[in-house]
Amino acid sequence: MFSLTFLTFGPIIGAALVCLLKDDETIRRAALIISLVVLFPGIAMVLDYNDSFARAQASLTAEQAASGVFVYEEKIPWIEAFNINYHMGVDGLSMPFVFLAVFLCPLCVLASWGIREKVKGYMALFLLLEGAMIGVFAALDLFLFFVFWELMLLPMYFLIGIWGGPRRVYAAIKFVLYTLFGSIFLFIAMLVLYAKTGSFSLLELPQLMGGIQMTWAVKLALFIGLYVAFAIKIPAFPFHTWLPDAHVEAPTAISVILAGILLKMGAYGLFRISYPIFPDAAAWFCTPMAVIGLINIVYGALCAMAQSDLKKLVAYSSISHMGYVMLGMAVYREESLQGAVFQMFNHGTITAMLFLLVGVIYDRAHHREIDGFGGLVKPMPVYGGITALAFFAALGLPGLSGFISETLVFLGAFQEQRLITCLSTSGILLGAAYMLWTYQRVFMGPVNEKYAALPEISLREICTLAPLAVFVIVLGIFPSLFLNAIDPTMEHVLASLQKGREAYQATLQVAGALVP
Amino acid sequence: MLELLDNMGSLKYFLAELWLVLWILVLLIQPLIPRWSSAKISNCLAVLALIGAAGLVLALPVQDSRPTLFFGMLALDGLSRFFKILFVFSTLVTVLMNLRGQEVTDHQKPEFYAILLGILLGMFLTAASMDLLMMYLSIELFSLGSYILAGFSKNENRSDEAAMKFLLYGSLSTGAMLFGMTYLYGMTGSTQLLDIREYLAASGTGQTVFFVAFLLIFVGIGYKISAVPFHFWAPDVYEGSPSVLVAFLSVASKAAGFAAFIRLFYTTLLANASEGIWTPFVDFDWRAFVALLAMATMTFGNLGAFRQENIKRLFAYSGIAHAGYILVGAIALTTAGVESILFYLLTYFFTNFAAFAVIVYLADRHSMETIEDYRDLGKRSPLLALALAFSLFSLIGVPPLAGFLGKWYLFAAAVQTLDPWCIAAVVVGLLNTVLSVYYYMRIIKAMYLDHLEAPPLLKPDSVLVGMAVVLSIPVVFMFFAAGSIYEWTRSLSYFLVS
Amino acid sequence: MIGLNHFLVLSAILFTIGMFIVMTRRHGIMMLMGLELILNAANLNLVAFSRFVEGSIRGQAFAIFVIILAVAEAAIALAIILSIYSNQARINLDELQALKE
Repeated sequence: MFSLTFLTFGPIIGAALVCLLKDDETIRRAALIISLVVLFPGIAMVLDYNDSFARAQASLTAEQAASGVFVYEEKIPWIEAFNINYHMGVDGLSMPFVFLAVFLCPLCVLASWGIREKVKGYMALFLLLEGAMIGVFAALDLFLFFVFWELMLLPMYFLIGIWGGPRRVYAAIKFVLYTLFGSIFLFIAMLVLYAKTGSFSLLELPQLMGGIQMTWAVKLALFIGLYVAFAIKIPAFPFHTWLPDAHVEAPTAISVILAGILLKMGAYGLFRISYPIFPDAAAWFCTPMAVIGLINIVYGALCAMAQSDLKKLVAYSSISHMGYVMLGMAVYREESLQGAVFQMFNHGTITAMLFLLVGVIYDRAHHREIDGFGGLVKPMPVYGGITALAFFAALGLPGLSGFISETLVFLGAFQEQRLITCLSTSGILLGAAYMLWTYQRVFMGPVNEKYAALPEISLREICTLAPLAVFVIVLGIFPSLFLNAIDPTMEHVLASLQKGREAYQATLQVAGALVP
Repeated sequence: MLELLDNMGSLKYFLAELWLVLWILVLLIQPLIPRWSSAKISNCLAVLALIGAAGLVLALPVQDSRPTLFFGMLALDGLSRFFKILFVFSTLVTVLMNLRGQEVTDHQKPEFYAILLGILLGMFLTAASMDLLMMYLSIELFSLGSYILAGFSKNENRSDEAAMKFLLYGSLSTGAMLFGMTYLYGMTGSTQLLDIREYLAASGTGQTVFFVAFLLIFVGIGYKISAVPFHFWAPDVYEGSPSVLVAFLSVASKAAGFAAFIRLFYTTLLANASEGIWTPFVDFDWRAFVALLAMATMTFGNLGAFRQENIKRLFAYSGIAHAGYILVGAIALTTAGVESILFYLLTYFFTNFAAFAVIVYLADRHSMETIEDYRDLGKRSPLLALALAFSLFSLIGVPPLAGFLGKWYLFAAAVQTLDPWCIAAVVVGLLNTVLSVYYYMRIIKAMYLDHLEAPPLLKPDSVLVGMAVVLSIPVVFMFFAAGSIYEWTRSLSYFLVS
Repeated sequence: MIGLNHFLVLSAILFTIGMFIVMTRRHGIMMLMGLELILNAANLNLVAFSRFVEGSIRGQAFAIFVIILAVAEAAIALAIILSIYSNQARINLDELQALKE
């Protein structure tokens, strides 16, 4: 029997075990083994998911299925005075990200092999982070979600603050303050929702919300509060300024986790919490969200183009790519919603590759200035090849996974937001421009004599990159593998969103004003 | 039903207090006997006294009939039981911290313990008092004791100054409280809290004199819980007094203040409980008043902590801020509010004592009191640094640590009322939480992110390191049993109102 | 005829004077005297209320306790002031500078 509790607490217990070990090399191996021990059940989960989901769907009555179908559920009362349960479970929305988390972590442990200082602390914190991340995606209780959400902050602060670059302390505290500021709104929304409904269950809350009185102003305030909390994590313009700092200062593996998993939590939170609980407010917010998505896409791409630091460029490209997710979420079409979730997953794999690749070159040259390289293909042909693949995936070359998700987003978005979608497509152009321009400056042209003798990418580094490359290619050719798995859940999300839009428009007509 | 017990009948419920009086006498006599006069023996006696007192408190019967002792002077209810347990264990921890301490010299130890037990006695009575006279006397008893102990440090100038400031302003505040009490007595014709309650319920609090009376009483209690604007003594006293006493004051004195607060204000001022929710009297906007105080208290506390270099001073401001958070629970005016205050004090007990075990150790043995002194502690003493880090994170309120659970209950109780003042206070409280991250993180940063070339070594002290570790275990793992611990505080949150 | 109000006004005046002294004076002994005034204002209140309102001796008993406490407080305060004086030859709060922001 597959257990989400094991996935979540396995790494946390592993973190405690790592603390007991002495030798650095043993600690690295132990951390790798622990993350692999978690990975295999994760793979089993993916393989088994479709069957389990079908079984769960068949066994539920229509009424039960109205609150969504979840598999691998576990529910234990935790704090009964407040009706708080330890409730875990996944559906098509969270399963890919639980998998992404367990999948990226062993790669990150491998990528952190070069950490020399305080290995024990690093690995223990990293495993704690892994557990908390999985917990966020698996939690079906708002309180539990919040606990894991905040729990990630501690390891993240230390991982950036101790093992980061020169301005690490500033970046770490900025990250913590931004996230905590957002959490305030999450916290208040959670308390108000509980005071109104008496429940924290993410399954029950959408239903219970229908039965209570809440003024439109309060609803909007809570929705916007939640939006701010999640927008900081996404990060949506104008809450994005922590991201470049954190990325640039964080060690490679932490950048990978940051881009690969943490950014997804923002969009995931919107999908899991804001949308089902406030579907009518979400309908009100569609166009602003699309506009913010557009700003993210274009602004992120323009900033990326202006960067001279390779890692900063990747960081800004993340902002741009998360813009597609927001655009997709702003439109109530099956294509665009699926595209948004798929884009989240693809961004996780592709940006992870990009950060790992930047890490590879940084380990050798000890700087990341784009103009400081040149002709790197000569000394490092394999590295150049893998980088080309990652860059092409990032700019959305057909046949690679990024292309599918971006196309799906545009396909859906064009049906509702024509102007914004048309403007957003410029992001593809800009993306291609900065990616290719960067590739040209770093890999083409005359060989920089200083780096003529750089050693080729090592086997360990290839091991960190190859699995991600496989995903990029396979999902580019067979996107249905992914899309079929999330399809039933997305249909359910779409149905509830559409109902919210109808409710919103109904109140709009009655009041005859913008604010009903 | 209330049951009035006469003097003889009360004695069997009064054993813990009598036991303390006995040991105070023993500790006063002990240094007079030459063969017994070593510090070791006073340590043993104090620990024995406290273990005995803890046993007697825990053995107090929990019963349905709610007796009041000595003709209605003292209550024997859940509230007093909870606070007595909290106080006795606070004192026990304080004594254990002081076992090998040097700030309080060996020949002072018997007196130190005797007075500490006297303070404990005062706190026991405060938590239980049902009469204005009793409340005033018991508050003075523990206040006078703490003034004396504030002057006990071997750094005499600093310590004397702290004691003097503590005493002069403290007496001023209790004097004001007494003056307020006299008006309450004059208007209602009784000093019994339950009689006052009846009078107020019958005739309301319309007259200005009640407002003045309660305001003056709040001055005295506000001083004890260090609420703004009666907080200014805390930084100086925390910095100048012996560190062990500061640890004790930061938890027990604050808790005693809240015990008096709940007992006095909730008993007299709030109308009858309906479905567990008390409604405030109409003509006194109690909620707005306390909400504003709470907001001011947390904000001033946190802002004040920003530029502190001395850890004890920083913790004084942090204590002020936490008094503000606890007041948020008081605004709720519901049973859930009282429960959450009790629970928060419990988490604060573990968190603050774990932090102070480290602070006392470093201040007492190594005279390390500034944030700069804490640099690289992560390497110099990993266990101490870890314990302090966990308690700091708990003070910030990072889940799933104890401080988060405490804050959660407080704010949840306040928001549940859906009152605008409550929600405003919670919002300000959460913003303050983010503010507080900055200065708590300064300590964390010093401990883990700053590196020294040749860090001076620390002498190991198994007792204090052990205490830091033992106390931080509940800080980290309380969430496992959050439900049942909450149920426990809930079972003790009842008190005599009818 | 002297009634309750006369006593109350007198005690209020005493209280205010005491408060004023403690707030404005910085001399340890002077502040202590201000505190005594506050406590005696309270005593006057207690006795007056006891005589005119309640008619029992509850207030007088309260006042006796307050007197005893005032003595204890004064004793401790003087001990601390003496200790400071013998160490630093100062009693003025403003001149004590060991503890500052």
